[in-house]
Amino acid sequence: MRRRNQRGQALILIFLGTLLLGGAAGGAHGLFSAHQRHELRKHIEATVTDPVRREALDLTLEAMEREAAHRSSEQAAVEKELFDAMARHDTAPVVFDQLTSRADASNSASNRTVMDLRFQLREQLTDTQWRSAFASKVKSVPATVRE
Amino acid sequence: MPDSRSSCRPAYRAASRFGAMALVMGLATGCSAWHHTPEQKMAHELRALQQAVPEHVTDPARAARLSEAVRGLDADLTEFRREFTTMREDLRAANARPDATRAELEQLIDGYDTRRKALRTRVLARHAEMIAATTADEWSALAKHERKALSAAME
Repeated sequence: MRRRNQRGQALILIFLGTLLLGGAAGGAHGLFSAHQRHELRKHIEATVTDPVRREALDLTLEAMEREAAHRSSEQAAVEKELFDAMARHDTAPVVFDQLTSRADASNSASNRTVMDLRFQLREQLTDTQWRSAFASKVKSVPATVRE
Repeated sequence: MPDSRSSCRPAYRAASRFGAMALVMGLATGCSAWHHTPEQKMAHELRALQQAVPEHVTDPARAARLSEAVRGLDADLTEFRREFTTMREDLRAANARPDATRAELEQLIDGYDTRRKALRTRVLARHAEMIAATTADEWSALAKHERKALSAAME
């Protein structure tokens, strides 16, 4: 149930600020959208029957969901501050520098985590499983800026 | 004695067909109105911003500065959407290959990020230009349009 709730949260989160802040749909997060992660999980559940491998894969997918949720909540907070600052007439330019620097540092750290998880997942699947997971389902998903 | 149900049938069928056609057309036109592309929404919001300029800024010189900044914002956001779509397609194509290396994926991401930051600098410069060309009261009327245009560009 917890896993289903986490997945649901990741699916409904809306990300703004991709241009200004990097965003959860840009960078390494662009490797797997929420829909793609959901489809990937279904594909793995249908094709990987070995319980030991399934458990390892589940842990990786869970970590991906956690990172996406963490990134989106950080993003939402900075984004609110940024848009509020843009709405004010007296915002000093340095405020924008501070906010974008904060977002860049956070993006950079999150990109590294997602990239580590991508290659962890790659290690856990065979070449054939990887190809079929992405060719049949993940690749056909249209690109959107919001995740 | 004629069967009243039989005599009603042709009229009933015609009405049903008409109703079905109306429903299909209504859904088709309704759906197209509900599902604007992000590009369409962005263009709509930028038009609204452009139209709001003369309503709220009566000084012609400052209104012209603002209009120029909005046109620049339009060009920047259009470029951003193109950049993002290309990056996403390239990244997903590379990611789908089992032999994709970390260096290869990082190069794609870093390249996109460099271009995104350059665009961000331009967008924030447009914003500063709009602030410089308005009073606080004028900006309070225009800011919501800028925010909507930026949000639409990031859908």
